[in-house]
Amino acid sequence: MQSLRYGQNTHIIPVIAPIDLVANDITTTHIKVTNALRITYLMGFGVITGDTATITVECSSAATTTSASAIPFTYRLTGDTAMDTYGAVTTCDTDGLLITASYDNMLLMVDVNMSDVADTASYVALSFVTESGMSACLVSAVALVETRYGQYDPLSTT
Amino acid sequence: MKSLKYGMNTHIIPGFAPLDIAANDFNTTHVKVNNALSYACLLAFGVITADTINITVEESTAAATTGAEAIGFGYRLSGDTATDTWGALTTCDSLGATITANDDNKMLWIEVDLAEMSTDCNYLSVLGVTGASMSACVVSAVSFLETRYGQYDPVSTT
Repeated sequence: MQSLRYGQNTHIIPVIAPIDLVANDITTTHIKVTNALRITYLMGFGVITGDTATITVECSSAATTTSASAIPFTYRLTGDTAMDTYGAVTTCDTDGLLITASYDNMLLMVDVNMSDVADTASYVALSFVTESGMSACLVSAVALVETRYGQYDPLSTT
Repeated sequence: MKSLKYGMNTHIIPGFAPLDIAANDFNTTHVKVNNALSYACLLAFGVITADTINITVEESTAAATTGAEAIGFGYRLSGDTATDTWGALTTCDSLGATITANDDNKMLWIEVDLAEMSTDCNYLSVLGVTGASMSACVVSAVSFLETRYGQYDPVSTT
C-alpha cells in the first residue's frame, strides 16, 4: 500500500490496545506532533452498554494530561462492521463528541488539524471519558500520522 | 490527512469490532478488492492469555469462508502502546504468523500483494485461529484499501 506502506509513509501508532473500559476513562498515548503534518485517529467500538461517553482531543506542552486543553476536531463515523458505509464529515468543538450505545461495532475517524494545536503545545492525545452507568465499553484506537517524509522507522513521537 | 482524508483517499473499513474472543476463532469482514490497488489490515491485540493465535490471510470467490484458501502476506509487528516502535518487515507464507501472549497490546500490520491472488478470487479476509487453552484474547481489526481514485463515499467492498 503506497500511502501507508507498513507504517513507512504514514506513521502508525498503537494508542489504545483493545480493552473493555467498563466505566473507566482513558487517554491515548500522547503523540509528539512536531514532525507531523496531520493526525487521524481511528477508534473502534465494540459493545457499548449502559451509558454514554465523551471524546475530546487535547493538546499539551508535555506528554501528560496536566494543563492539557481541548481543541476542535472533525470526524466521520462508519456504519458497523457489516456495512462498509460512512456518515458525513462533521466538525466538533472543544466540548467533544458524545458516544452512545448506538455506536456499537462502528469505527470513528477523528482528524486533527495541526493549525488548531496551540503554539506552546507539542503533544496531542485523545481523551475518552465514560459515564458512571457504563457496564461494557470495548474500544481500541490507532493514530495515523502523516509525517514530513517517509522512512523505514519513523521519527519517534514519544 | 491527504493520504487518508476521512476514508476518501484510502478506503477505511471496520474489519472486526473490539471483542474478547477467548478461545474462539474470528474472520474479518470480507473485502472485495477488484477496485483496489492494494490491501492492508491492521490487527490490534489487547490482553492475550494462556495460548497463541495463528493469523492467516484468505482469498475467496465470494464474501464467505467457504472454499477460501490461505495466501502469503507481509507483516510488521509493533511494540506495545507505550513504545512507538515497529519490528522488521517480514514475509509469511500461507501457514501464517503466530501471535503469542508476549504480544499483548501490540498491533500487526498486514499487507497483501494483490497480484498474488488467484484470478478467480475477488475477496480477502484475515482469519485468526486461537489455541484451545486461550482464556483471554481481546482483538480488533481495520482494513485499508488503496482505491483507484478518491471519492467522498468509496465504492462498496461488500
